[in-house]
Amino acid sequence: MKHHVHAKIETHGHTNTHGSDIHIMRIHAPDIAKNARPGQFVMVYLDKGEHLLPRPISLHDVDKTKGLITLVYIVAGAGTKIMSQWPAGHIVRVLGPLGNGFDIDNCRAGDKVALVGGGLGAPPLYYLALELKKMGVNVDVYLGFRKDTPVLTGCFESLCVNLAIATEDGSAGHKGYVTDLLPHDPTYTTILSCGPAPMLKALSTYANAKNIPCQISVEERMACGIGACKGCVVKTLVGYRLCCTEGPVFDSKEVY
Amino acid sequence: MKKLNVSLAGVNLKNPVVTASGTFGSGMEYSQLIDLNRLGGITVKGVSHEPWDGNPPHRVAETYGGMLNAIGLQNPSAKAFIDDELPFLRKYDTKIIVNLCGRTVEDLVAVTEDFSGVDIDLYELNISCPNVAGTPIIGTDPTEAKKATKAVVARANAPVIVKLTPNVTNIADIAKACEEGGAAGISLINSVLGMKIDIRKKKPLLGNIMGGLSGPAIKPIALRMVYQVAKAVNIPILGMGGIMTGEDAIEFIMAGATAVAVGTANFVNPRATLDILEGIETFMNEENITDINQLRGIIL
Repeated sequence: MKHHVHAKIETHGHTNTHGSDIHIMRIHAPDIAKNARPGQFVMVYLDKGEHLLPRPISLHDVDKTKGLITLVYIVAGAGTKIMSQWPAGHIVRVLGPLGNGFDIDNCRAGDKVALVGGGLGAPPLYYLALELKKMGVNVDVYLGFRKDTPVLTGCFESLCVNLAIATEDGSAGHKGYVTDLLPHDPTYTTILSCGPAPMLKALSTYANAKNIPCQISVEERMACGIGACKGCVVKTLVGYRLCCTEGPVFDSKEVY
Repeated sequence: MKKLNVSLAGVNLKNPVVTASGTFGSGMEYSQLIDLNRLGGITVKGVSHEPWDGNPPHRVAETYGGMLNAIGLQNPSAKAFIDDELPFLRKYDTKIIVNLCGRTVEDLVAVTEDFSGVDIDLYELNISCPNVAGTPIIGTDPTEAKKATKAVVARANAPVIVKLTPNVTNIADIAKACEEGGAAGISLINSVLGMKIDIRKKKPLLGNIMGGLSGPAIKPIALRMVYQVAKAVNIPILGMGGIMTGEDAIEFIMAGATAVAVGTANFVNPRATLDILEGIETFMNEENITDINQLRGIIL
């Protein structure tokens, strides 16, 4: 059940890392928090004249007890620039939770699951890792960035999961791509991933070769976020699918 | 007691606010967010005789005060709509307006016949999609527009209004041709053909290169065209194009529209239709207007 709410920003911090302005915004939205799943997203409305369309942002963390959702975003254009100027206490309009989220219903205690994130694909894996840990699943997290991005890796360090990092410039962890870190003889029951298309494609090839089920979270430009406008299609092997309602999480074999 | 109901092409709408095709799915998508019973009508996403895949991504882009879309009328076919979506919509006390699409007059006839025996309140004949090969040709030529209208009206089991494209030299001529063809009303405007370039990637942003511009950026154009058509024809008008507020809707009604359709505003605010309806009522209270029909065409 999705809700369209006016919600208060509880905290809103930001960190400049190598020229990237990364923001962490925590919003009090109990109706959205209460039935949110890892991998789902919300639409954040800008309510600013000439910028009409809401921005889709994935859920980084959810606190159902306190009714809080946490969003992590990077200032990439005019819309996120406007968002970045909202102070704590500001009231925002938010619609969510939206999308299907990761399917973890079949994961069992003792299973070994790999989470693979690239860039801004890392934040949504945090809530996913939390939920999997709660279920007793053994979680290995692999994160890749262009450059060292401590603000996005720090939260995973306190989770007691195996964490491996790759950076393209070698400023942290392995120098190269995150997919370089994946084992040759994996024992994973499932791979769950979010990140840029080239990474998802390489990961899908890996998962296919090792015969491991793999779910990937993709992104596409959206207008409504609820399946009405048919604007956010993703090309899959079975034709166009809507990122907002049929995704954003797809079986990797459907896409690549 | 204010009177809000209007008669659009012989169909009694409880109020003049309906949704614009392609922005509201088949209503189901918004039913958790607003009470669909409060709408004058719901114009569903365009349907064709055969399923259409639509255009490659990207299909949408924000522009200053507007947005571009190049969906390409992706739809699962009229038959799938009738079987899977219409039963849900029927549970609500609102009029159902079905947008009919086709690349040729033959296509349009076929989709109209798909609805024989199906109870629909009103048809909106779409001869104006900027994103589908064929329809702009029908919608920009008075002879073709008249031919298509005649063919569909002859087979339709409910009144037919014709949705026009603004991408023409003289919209009044097209509207008159549709009236001669038997249209029960005119719906306008569809989106304005535009484009956007991704200067970093050095290529057009939309997969279809060009797309339809909608939203408040096009409102003055839409209002002007509603005014021109209202002066040219004697059939009712469903006015649309960038309506965001009750005041915007009042402008269209004053320019001659019997009812108004809300499109892009649904993306900006899922409850835009209801806010617009409430805005119309507020205006009527402030101006001591008892019947919305008193305002229609008062500037003509």
